[in-house]
Amino acid sequence: MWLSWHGTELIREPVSLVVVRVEIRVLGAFRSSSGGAVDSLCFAGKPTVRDVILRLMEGRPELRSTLWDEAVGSPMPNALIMLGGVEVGNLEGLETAVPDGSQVLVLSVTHGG
Amino acid sequence: MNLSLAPVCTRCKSAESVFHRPYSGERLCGGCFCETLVERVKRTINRFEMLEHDSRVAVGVSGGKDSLTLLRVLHGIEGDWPNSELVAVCVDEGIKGYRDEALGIAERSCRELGVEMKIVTFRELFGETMDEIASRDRELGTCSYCGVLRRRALNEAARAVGADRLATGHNLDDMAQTVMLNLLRGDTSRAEGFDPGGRGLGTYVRRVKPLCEVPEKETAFYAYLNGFEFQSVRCPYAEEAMRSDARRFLNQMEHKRPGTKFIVYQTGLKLASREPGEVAGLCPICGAPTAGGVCRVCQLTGRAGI
Repeated sequence: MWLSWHGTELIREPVSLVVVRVEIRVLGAFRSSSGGAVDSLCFAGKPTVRDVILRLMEGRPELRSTLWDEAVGSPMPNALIMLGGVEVGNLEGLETAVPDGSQVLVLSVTHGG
Repeated sequence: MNLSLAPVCTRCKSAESVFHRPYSGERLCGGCFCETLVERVKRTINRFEMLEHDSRVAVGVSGGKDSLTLLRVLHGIEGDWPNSELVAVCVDEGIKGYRDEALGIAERSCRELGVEMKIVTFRELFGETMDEIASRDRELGTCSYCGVLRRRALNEAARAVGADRLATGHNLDDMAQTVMLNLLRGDTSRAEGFDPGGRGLGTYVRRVKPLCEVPEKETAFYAYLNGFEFQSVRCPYAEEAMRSDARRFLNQMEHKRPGTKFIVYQTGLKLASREPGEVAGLCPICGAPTAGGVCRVCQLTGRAGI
């Protein structure tokens, strides 16, 4: 339900909330720092790959320190990120929209694990 | 999953592309990606005359994505050279948690491909595990010990299986990092060792690096496409290496300017062709080839008191 003002009268309008469910698989060395191989996250609205990665790193400082490159503001130098089996560099990069029910896979490319 | 945003493969022009090579502009489907990676490895082997038609090749397999990619690609290529043989050689440095998992992956991969596997350990060769050495001396950096001892161990394993080539999974990123490190250290005497085609030297089996022109991201993607197992544990000593700084810098540069790693690698090749390197002698302690005086292995084992 959504509340909005119309003149001085409060009108209740039914509004459908868009919820996007995304499955995240983490492979390679990021797996131990992410606390598991598979996670499922829900987003309101239309998330991008960037939104998914930022949410994945929330509360996981160890993962953030190895996945996210602060200097370029991106995880792309350290990881292969796939959306539905397609590497996101082949799409719109971090700005690629993530459809409901899709899978985002994050794979460490770092040598030594 | 059809994302509809992914363009058609620029090579076969029929399938949906799954990977973009920013440095070349190619957008490839899974099949074309794997084919072009194998073609590149074949070209590299030919360019540097790495193998003979009847080579017995020891493949250094750590259980990581690079060495498993190398093993799988060479196993596929081997069919073109029926007189050649592959043997996997693995080194157990004794890094608890990390190496155990990797060796398990290596063992399963070798079994799947039907490739013979030989494991040597730091304990049997040097009397101690890497964890034991690291517990006493962290000042020098664990990777300084591990890299040198591991190289010797791989050579011993290659000799033990009667190989005339030792193929390692060094990729383009490793090569570019090595160039950077040599420049940062001002060490041009190592330029000779940069040659991906290597050369046999005394008791040293000729080391070749067939993946030297394949970016690390692409070995990871090849491993993913081929359903390889991935290590979930990172080496606990990895961040101690100066190499990590070089890797970070090069990754950032590649992100901003695609093709940087290839340029640095090509620079390394140019330097290697100009710099003849130091004449190798034999270590007075162990008899291994060395750039002069006591070899690095004997220096380090002496320092660690083993």
